[in-house]
Amino acid sequence: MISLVRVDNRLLHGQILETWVPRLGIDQVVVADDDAADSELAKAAMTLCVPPSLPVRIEPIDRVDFGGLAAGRDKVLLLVRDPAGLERARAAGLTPALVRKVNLGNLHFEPGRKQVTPSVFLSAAELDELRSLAAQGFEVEARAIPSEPPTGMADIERRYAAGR
Amino acid sequence: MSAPAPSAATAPAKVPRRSLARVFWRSLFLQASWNRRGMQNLGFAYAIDPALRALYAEPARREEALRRHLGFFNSHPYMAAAIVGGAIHHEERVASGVEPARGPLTYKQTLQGPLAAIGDGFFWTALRPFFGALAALGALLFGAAAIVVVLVAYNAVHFVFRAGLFLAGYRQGDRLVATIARLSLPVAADRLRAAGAGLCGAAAAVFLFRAGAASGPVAAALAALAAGAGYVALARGARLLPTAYVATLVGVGAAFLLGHLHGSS
Repeated sequence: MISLVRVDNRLLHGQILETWVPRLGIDQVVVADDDAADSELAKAAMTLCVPPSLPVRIEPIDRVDFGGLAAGRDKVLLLVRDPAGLERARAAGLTPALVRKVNLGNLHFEPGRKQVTPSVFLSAAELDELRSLAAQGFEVEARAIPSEPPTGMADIERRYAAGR
Repeated sequence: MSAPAPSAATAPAKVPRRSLARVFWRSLFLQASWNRRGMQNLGFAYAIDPALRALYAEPARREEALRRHLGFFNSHPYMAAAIVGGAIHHEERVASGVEPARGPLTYKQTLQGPLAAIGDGFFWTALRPFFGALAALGALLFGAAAIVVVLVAYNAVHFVFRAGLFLAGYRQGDRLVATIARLSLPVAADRLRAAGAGLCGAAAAVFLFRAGAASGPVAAALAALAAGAGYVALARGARLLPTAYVATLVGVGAAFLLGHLHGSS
């Protein structure tokens, strides 16, 4: 089963390995990212930072077998870099029937983005993508680590509208 | 002293040692201008600036280089030393014309997450708690001076790591990852955590022993009971901080109550 889809500009880092993986009892991490899958350095570094008991697969988004992961016995944390990656994952077959929860972890500031939580800055196009996800039935929330209160879609909308 | 530049097209650009030392010194202040938007970006740009000055004599190129290091960056502050070193390795290649200008940026973006994970696991959840437990036990046995000694020891270890990581990144560039892999930090972290837990147990034993000696076996038994209850609570998933507060309040309350009973009898 896929326990969580995490959106994080930094992909695999301490917040995920130290908090989300133990909290959800994750058995396997799948990084769906074309750049990372294409980089020996990225693959070596990500393999290095996880304990041997936690397998990590790094695959281009189009190659990920979402249905197979959802049907498998392992609890999977699926990691994508940004909402554009989510959009492509949906085009490649990711549906709310396979995983309900979409977590926005860290989306960094760039000019033209508005802050909706301390660690999440969104562009207008990304907000549209999130709306479309929510409309399709995904539960979208923003929070960096599980002990924080989650920020749901309604609050994301409100803060984006009020944001600078 | 910079030697007169030979034909600039063929000579590989090198950052002089003095500039490297300045970059390393500045990298110690990586988090001094931490901010929500770029996190450690300003600290990184400030740290690497002496190297960029050495590599790019032309102001426009230097500005371009500095700007690419102002983008988002965040990693573990100790492990980041390796990335600063590796970014200079790549900047030398950019300055020599053998690598596109994105090279240093890709390097930073690729390594910041994984190295942060390794650093969090090793330094924050293993090495620092180990030295904290050592300080607690040392303070119980030898007094407050032990805390100073442990602080110095921790920072000596931390500093050696940072300097070594910086040099490894600078000399090895992408091969840095294999070098860090050979350190087996996750394995060392597991051992440190076990050793730290052992030290905490020893500190608790010293405490119990003293309670027994000062206030009799009933006090020691009560303290052991309280410690056992705390252990069971934490092992069953109670959150650390609230548990610690409750334990402190109950302890202080019990002390008051017992003091009152003793006083009035």
